Amino acid sequence: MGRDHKFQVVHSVTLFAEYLREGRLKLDKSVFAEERCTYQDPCNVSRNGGCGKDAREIIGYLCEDFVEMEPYGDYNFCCGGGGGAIPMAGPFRERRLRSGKVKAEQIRATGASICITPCHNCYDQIRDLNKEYELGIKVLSFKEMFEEALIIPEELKAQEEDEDEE
Amino acid sequence: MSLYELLRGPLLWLAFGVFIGGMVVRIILFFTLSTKKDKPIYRFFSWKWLWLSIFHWIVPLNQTAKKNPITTTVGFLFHICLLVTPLFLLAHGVLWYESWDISWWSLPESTADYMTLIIIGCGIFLALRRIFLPYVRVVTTAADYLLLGVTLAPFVTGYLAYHQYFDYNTVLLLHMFFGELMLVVIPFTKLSHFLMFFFSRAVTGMEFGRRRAPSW
Amino acid sequence: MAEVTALDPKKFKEAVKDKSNARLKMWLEICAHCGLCADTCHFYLANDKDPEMIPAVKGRKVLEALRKKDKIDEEFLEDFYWTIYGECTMCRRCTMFCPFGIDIATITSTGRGLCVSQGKVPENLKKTIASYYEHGNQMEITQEEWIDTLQWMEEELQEELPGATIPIDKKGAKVLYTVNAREPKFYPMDISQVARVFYLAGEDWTMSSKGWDDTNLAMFAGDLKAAAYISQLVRDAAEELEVRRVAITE
Repeated sequence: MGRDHKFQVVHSVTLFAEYLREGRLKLDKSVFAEERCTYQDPCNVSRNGGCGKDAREIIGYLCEDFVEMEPYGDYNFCCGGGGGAIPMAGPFRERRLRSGKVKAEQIRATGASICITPCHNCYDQIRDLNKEYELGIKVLSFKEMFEEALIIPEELKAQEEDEDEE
Repeated sequence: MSLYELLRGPLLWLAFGVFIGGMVVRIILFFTLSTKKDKPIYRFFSWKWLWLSIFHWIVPLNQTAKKNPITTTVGFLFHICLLVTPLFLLAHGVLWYESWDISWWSLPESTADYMTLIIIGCGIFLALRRIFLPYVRVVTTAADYLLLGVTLAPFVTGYLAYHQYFDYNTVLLLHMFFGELMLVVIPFTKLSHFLMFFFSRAVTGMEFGRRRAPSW
Repeated sequence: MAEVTALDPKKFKEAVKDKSNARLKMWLEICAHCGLCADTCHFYLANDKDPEMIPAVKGRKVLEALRKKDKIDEEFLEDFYWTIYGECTMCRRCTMFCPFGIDIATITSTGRGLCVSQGKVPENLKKTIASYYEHGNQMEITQEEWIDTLQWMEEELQEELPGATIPIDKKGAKVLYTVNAREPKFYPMDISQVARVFYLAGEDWTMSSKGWDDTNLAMFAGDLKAAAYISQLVRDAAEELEVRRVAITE
C-alpha cells in the first residue's frame, strides 16, 4: 500500500459504502432492528485507513439502534489484536487478552448486543474478549450482516433456472 | 578583560554562534539523512497537512489539551513567557541598543517580573510532575532535571538581579553565564524541540493526513 | 561469559546503522518525557496503569538499543523483545495525543527490525514469513487448496444464487479482491459472503490464483525485506490482471 501504482487500493468498507450509496445493494433494515449495534474502528481501517466515515454510512443502512463507543472513530482504542498480536499466539496470547480489557469495557459500556468490525484481527480478538470478559455479544463483520440483510431480487433466486449471466 | 566584559562580549558571541550554528547543522543533517532514508516525507509531502498539524498544536486545539487542561495551561504559559520575557525585557533591549543601535518594544517592568515568576512557578510544577506522577517518573532521566534547571537558572538569577537580592554583581554574572549556557546546550539536547517541533509535527501531520486522519 | 549465545553484535550494529533515519533520531532526541502519552495507550490502561507500559518507555528502550550498537547483551535483548513485540500493537493512538506527534509505531517497528537482525522474532510470525515465501500466503495454503476453496464456495453460493460466480484470474476486471489468509483457512464462508455482495452489486470482479493474501505479517515482524516481497505479490497480480482497483478484505 501507499506506493504509486496503476491501480487504486481500496478497502472493502469503502466499496460496500459505494454500492449502497449508488443503490446497487439494498438492505433490509428490519433484520437487525431488535439489536443494539456498536462499531469497533480497526486501527488500520479508521485511524490509518481513513474509512471511518464509510463504515458509519453502511451502518446507517443496516442498524436502527447504533451506539458509538467512547472514544470512537480515529480516536478509538486498539482492540489489542493488532500489530501481529493475534498470529504471534503462544506466550503472547495472555498479554493480548489482558490488553483487550480496555476494549471489553468500552463495548460493555455501550450496552450493545452486536459489535461490528471489518477487520479479521479485531474480529478474532473481540471474539476472544467476548469469552474472556463475558460480554455476551455477537461479533459480526459487515459481510456476515449483509448475508442476512441483503434484499435479493426474486429473479436471481434459485427456483428459476433461466438466469442472465454476466 | 573583566569577567563581565568576557560574558558580555566573546562568550556571548560564542553562545549565539554555537546556538545558531548548531541548529543550522541540525537542520542540514536532518535534510541530508532524510532525503536518503525518509522517503515517505517527500513522497507524501503536503503543505496543507503540514500547516494544519502545526497549527493545532501551536494553539491548544487538540485532544491532549482537552484531556489535560491544567498541564496544557501550565505548558503554554511556561513556553510563552519563556520566549517573550527575554526578547522584550527592557534591560535586554538596552543592551541591544548599546551594541547595535537597534531597539524595539519592551514589556513594562512589572509585567516582565510577573512573567518571570510564572516561568519559575511553571518550572516547579513540571518538576513536581516528574517527581510525583509515576508515568512521568518512569521516563525521567537526570538530564531532564538538569535541563529544567538550565532553563530556569537564567530566570531565577535574572529575577534576583532585578530585585538586587544578594550581591548584585555576582548574581548578574551568574545570570549571564546561565543564559549563555542555555543557548549552548539547545542544539545538543531535547531543548532543540523549539525548532524540531515544527519538523516533527509536519512529518506526522502529513503521514496521518495521507490516511485522512487528524493528528491532533 | 563463556556461554554460547545467539547474539550477533556485528549484525546488531549494522541494523542500528541501517534503521537510523532522520525522523527516528529526531523523535528519540526531542521526546520531552512529559508522559502525556500514558493514558492514551490500552496496554497502560489495561495493566492497572503500570508505568512501564507507556508509549514513551518503548521510545526509551529503542534509544537504549540504538546506543548499545555492538555492546548489545542478552539480558537487554530479552527484555527488549518482550516489550517491543508484546506491549505495543503499533496502533498509533498515542501519536495523535503527543504534542510533538512522535510516531511510536515507527519506533516499535524499528525495534522489531533490530530484533530481526538477531533472529529474535516470535516463532509463529517466523513461520508465516516462511509460508509467504513458499506459498505466497501466511497460512501455508497451496494454490490447489486455494482454488478448491474458491470453487467450493462458488458451489455453495450457487445453491442459493445460481448466477453467482467467483471469477479467478479474470483479466481486465474492475476489482481484484484480496483476502486475509485466515479466511480460506478458518472462515471460508467469508468468501461466499463477499461473492454474494459483488454479484448483487453487479461488480466486475476477480480473485487471483497467485497474489491473493493481503496481510503482511512481515511488516509487523519488522522484517521489511520480506514485507516488500509480500506486497509485491499482490501488486504483481494486480498488474498482470490489469485491474483498476485492488480491494482489501474486511
